[in-house]
Amino acid sequence: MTCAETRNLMLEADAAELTGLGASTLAAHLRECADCRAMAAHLVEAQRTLAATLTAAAPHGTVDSALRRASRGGYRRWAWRVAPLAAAAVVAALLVGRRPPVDRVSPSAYHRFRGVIVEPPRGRSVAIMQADNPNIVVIWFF
Amino acid sequence: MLARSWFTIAAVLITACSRGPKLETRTFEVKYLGGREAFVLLSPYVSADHADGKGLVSYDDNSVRVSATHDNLEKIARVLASYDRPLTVRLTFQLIEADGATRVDPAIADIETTLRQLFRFRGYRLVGDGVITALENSAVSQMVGRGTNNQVQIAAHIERVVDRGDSATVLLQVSLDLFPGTFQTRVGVPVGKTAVLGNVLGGPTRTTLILTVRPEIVSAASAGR
Repeated sequence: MTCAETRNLMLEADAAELTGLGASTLAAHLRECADCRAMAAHLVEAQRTLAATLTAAAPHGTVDSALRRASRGGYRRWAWRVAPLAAAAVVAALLVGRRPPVDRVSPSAYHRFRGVIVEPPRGRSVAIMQADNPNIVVIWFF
Repeated sequence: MLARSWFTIAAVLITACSRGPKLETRTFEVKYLGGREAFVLLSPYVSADHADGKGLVSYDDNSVRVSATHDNLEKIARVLASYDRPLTVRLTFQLIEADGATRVDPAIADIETTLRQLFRFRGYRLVGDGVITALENSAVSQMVGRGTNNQVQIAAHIERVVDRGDSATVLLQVSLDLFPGTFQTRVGVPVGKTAVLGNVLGGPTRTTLILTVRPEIVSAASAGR
């Protein structure tokens, strides 16, 4: 498996796999490749940050409780989405640091996800969530 | 005698083939279309002009380079002029306050349904809405809100429309002046879709604000250009 293939798979992987646990080809590659392992660590950290942000914005419960409910099926689709999308967002954040000044950024330098292009405010990361309604996309900065 | 006739015919054919159509090469700068979009637009004109395959078209970010006959280059220039124009974009905004209400606000029913699927705020309230119409590469702003103490200035710089056509996306910078606090981001939103920009903090009450923006392409005539 190449590094490019690995980084593509990382956007849909769960936290355990991103830390190199398990017998998947992705986990095996992460155990051997320091560069990809560093990228995976960023993704895991972003998932934690997003979870903390959502917890703060959730007066009736916590993300952990939501994830526990998700594991029982009720909110499974919601929980499944947030984690990989947060990971995708961090890839975008990593690219931002290498960009030229804003007024010189070409459209191709934007982060794209499902037709949406986002450059978050300075110092913030972003999660992009596709709603059940195909005409609504949620872009959440944290 | 027969051999001489064949030689003459072959010489005429070779001469005709070697002359071919006289080609010129011209580089067209594009301002609103991307180079790739211009390439896609112009390719049929170039290939139709040269059955012998000598016509060429190539592109970079902001220009397209065409080798074709003089007449065809003129035609291509006219085609480009008719397409390489700024589009008029209409942006519909809604500013929503999270935890601002316990009852469903019918004005934001679709958005609220989505937000309730994702987040656990107690409720959502429409603070204000607005519609802005402007050309590509222009900036506009509007005050939205209710009452004198709950006003927010929304500003948008519509940079350009990329991938014009069915999959067009509007690139824009959006900023909110929240009195106090500001928020600014750059997004590309597919035409007809609603982007929900969340977790905007600011304003006198420091509540969580959510801005929705939906871009649409409108005709030049309806925009009043």
